[in-house]
Amino acid sequence: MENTKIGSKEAIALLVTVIFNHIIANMTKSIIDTTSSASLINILYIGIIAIIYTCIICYFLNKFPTLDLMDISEYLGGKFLKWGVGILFTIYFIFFAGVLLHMFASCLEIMYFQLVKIEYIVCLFVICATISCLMKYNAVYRANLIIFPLLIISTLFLFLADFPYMIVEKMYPILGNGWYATFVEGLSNMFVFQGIAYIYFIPSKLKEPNLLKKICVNSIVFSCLFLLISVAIVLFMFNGFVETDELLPLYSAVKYIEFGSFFQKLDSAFVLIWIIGIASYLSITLKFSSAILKKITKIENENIFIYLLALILFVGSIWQKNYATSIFLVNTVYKFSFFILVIAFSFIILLLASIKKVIKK
Amino acid sequence: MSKSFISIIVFLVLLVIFINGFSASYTSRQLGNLAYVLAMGIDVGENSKMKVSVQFTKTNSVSSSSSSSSEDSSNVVLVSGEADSIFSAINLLNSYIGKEINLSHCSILVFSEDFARNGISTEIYSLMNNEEVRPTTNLVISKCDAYDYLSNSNPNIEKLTTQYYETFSITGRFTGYFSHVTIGEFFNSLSEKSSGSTAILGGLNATARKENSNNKSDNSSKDDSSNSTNSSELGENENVVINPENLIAGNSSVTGKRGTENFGLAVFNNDVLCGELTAVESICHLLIVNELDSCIISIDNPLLEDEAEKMELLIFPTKKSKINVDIKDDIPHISLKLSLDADIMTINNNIDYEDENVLLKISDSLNKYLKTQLTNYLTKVSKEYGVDIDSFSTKALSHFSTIPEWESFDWNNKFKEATFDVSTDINVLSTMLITKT
Repeated sequence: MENTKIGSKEAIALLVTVIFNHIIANMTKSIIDTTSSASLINILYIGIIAIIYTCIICYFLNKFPTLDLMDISEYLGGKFLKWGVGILFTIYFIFFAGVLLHMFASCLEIMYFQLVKIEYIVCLFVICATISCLMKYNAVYRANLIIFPLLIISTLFLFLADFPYMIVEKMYPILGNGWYATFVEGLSNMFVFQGIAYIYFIPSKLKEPNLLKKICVNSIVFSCLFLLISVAIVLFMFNGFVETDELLPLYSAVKYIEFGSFFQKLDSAFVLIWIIGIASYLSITLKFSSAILKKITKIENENIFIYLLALILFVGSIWQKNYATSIFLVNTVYKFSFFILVIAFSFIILLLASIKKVIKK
Repeated sequence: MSKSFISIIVFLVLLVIFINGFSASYTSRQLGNLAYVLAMGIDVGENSKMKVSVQFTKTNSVSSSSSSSSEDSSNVVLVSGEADSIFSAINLLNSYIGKEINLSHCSILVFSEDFARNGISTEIYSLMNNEEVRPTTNLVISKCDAYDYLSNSNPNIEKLTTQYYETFSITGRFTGYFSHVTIGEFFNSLSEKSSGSTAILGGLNATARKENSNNKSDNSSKDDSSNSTNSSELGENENVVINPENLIAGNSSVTGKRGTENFGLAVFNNDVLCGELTAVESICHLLIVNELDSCIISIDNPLLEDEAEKMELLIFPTKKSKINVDIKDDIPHISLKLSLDADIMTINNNIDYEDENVLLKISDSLNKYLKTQLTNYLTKVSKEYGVDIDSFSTKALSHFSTIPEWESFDWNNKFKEATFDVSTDINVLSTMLITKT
C-alpha cells in the first residue's frame, strides 16, 4: 500500500518538473512578448499571486483530507459532476501535453533530424512515457526525482555560463509596456504555473496529506525561481523589446556557451537533459490522466487507460498543421483554458463544496 | 502465446519501424557525406546578387600529425559560386563538390565592403535561422573581396587554418586594434533599434596587396601592352600607414606569408556599413565596452624636447568604465570615466624613472592623449556616423519607466546631439625592469 503513495520530495519534484517543461517549451518567450522588459517584475508579481492562490486552494483541500478534486466534485454534485470534471481535466492534460510535445519534437526535428518525420520523434516520446507509466511502484515519480536535480543544475549552469553575454540594464524600462500591460494584461502569464492544475489531484497520492500546503507552496516558490532565472537569461542576452522570436529561446542561449576551443557546442548535452525532462513530464501527465479515468470509470486495470491516452497523446501531437498552430494553441487557447478550468471552475467547486460541508455540519 | 513472446515481437516490430524512420537522416547526413566549412565569404556577384565562397580543409589532412603549416595551406580548398541567396549558392556548391556543406564548424563569416554597403540583415537573419551556424562565428568586413581575403588566409605560425581563426577572439584583447565581433552579437544589435553594430575590419597585407597589383598588371599587360609600364608600379606606390591613429586593414606596412590582416572596426547603421574605425579608435571603443585586457599606446615623449620621439606605454584598465547618462532638455549628457594603470615600455638615456615628477609628467601626457582620442572617437561615432556602438542607450534606459516613453524619446536622433564628458584616471606605475638610466 505504501508504494502507491508519494513522499513530499517526490511531490515537489513532480510539480516543479511540470512547470519546468513549460518553461523549456517557449513559455519564457510568451512572458517576454507580453511584458517586455518588465518580465522579471511580472514574474515576481504573478509568483506572489500564484502562492496566495495556492494557499487558498490548499486551505479548501485541507477541509477534505486525502480527497482530490474528483472526490470533492462527487461530494458536491454527484457522479455527473465527477464525470464532467474528470473528462475536462483529462482532455486538458492530454491535449496540451500533445501540443507541447509537438513544439518540442518540431525543434528536435529542425536541430537534429531534418529528414525524419515528426511522427517518429513523437512516437518515441509517447512509447517512453507509456513504458514508464506501466512500471509498478510509482516508478514515474521516483524516476522524476532523479531527473529533477539535472534540470536544476543545467539551468543554473546555463545562467552562469551565459553570464558574460548578459546585459543587466536590459531590464529597463522597468515597467516595460506600462503598468497596465505589466500588472493587468501580465496576469495572463500566470498560466505558466501549470503545476497548480496538478495540485488538485495530489492529495490522494500523498503519504502525508497534512503537508499539502508546504509541498505546494515550496513547489511554486521553486518554479518561480526557475522562471526568474530562465526569463533573465533570455531577457538579458537578447533584446528585451523583442523584435525577433526564436523557436526555443533557451536553446538559442545554450548555443553561446563555449569554454575555450575544447568545450564547444554544449547544446547537445542540454537537449539530452531536456528530452529526459519532457519524457518525464509526459509520463506524469499520462499517469495523472489515467488515474482520473480509472477513478471515474471504476475499471480496475489502469493499463487500458494508459494505452488509450498514449494513443490520444500521439494523435494530439501530430495533427497540428505547423508551428504557428501550436503557438496559437499555447498562447491563446491554453491560457483561456487554464483560467477557465484550473482557476475559475475548480475554485468554484472547492468553494461550494466547503460551503456545503459547513451547511451540513 | 506467452506474454514475454508478445513483448519480444512488439519490440522487434518497433525496432524495424524506427530503424526505417530514422535511417533517412543518417544515410545522407553521415560524416563522410558532409563537407565542413572553415570559413565563408560573401561578395557582390558579377552575374547575380552574390558570390559565395566557402573554404574547406581536405578530409584526411587534419589527422596527419606530421603536417606542417605549408601542408595545411595546400590542403585548404576554396570554392565559390554565384546565386541570389546564400542557400542557393550553397546548394550549387553542394552539387559541385558532391557533398552536403555543413556550417557547424564555420569560424568566420566574411562580407566584402561593397556587399556590406547594401545591407546584410537578410544574410545574417538567414544564417542565424540555420541550426548549424554558431552565434560565436567571427564576423569580418573585408576591404578587399571576401574571396581574396579567404584565399590569402594561410596561417603563418599555426598548424591549422582553424587555429588561426581562433586567435580572432583573443588578439583584440591584448592589442586593441580590433574587437572580437560575432554574428550572434551582430544579430542582437540588429534587433535593437537604438544600438549600432560593429564588425572586424579585415584586408590584405602589403605582400598580398603587391601580389594582387602585380597580377592585375600582368593581366592588363596581356590585354593591352600599352598600359603595362604604368600599372606595374601600383603596389609600390600605394599609401602605407604607419601611425595607428590612421591605421585600418588594407593599408598597413605588414608583410608576411599570410596575406590577411585585421585592423580597426567596421561600423554599421542598422545593417548598412556606414564607416570605419581606425586602430586607436578601436582601442577607445574597447576601453568603453570593457573588452580590453591591455594594449600599447604611443604618445609624444613628454621627457624629450624632440616631438618626433615617441614613448610607448602598456595600459591596462583597473576598473570597468563608468558610464553615466543624464538627460537634460531632451539631450543626452554622457559622462565617461576610465581608470587605467600604465607601465612605461620605451625608456631613454639619463632619465630617472623613479622620480615622482617624471611619472607625473608622463601620466599627464598620457591622460591628455587618451582624453583627446576618446573625445575624437565619441564625436566621430555620434556626430559623423550617428550610431551608438557603445550601447550608451542601455544606460539611458533607466531614465524611462515605460517602453513607449523610451521610443518617443527617439534615442537615435538624440544621440547625434549628445554631449560627452570624458575623464581618465591614469596612474603610471613604473618602467618594467630598468628604473633608472
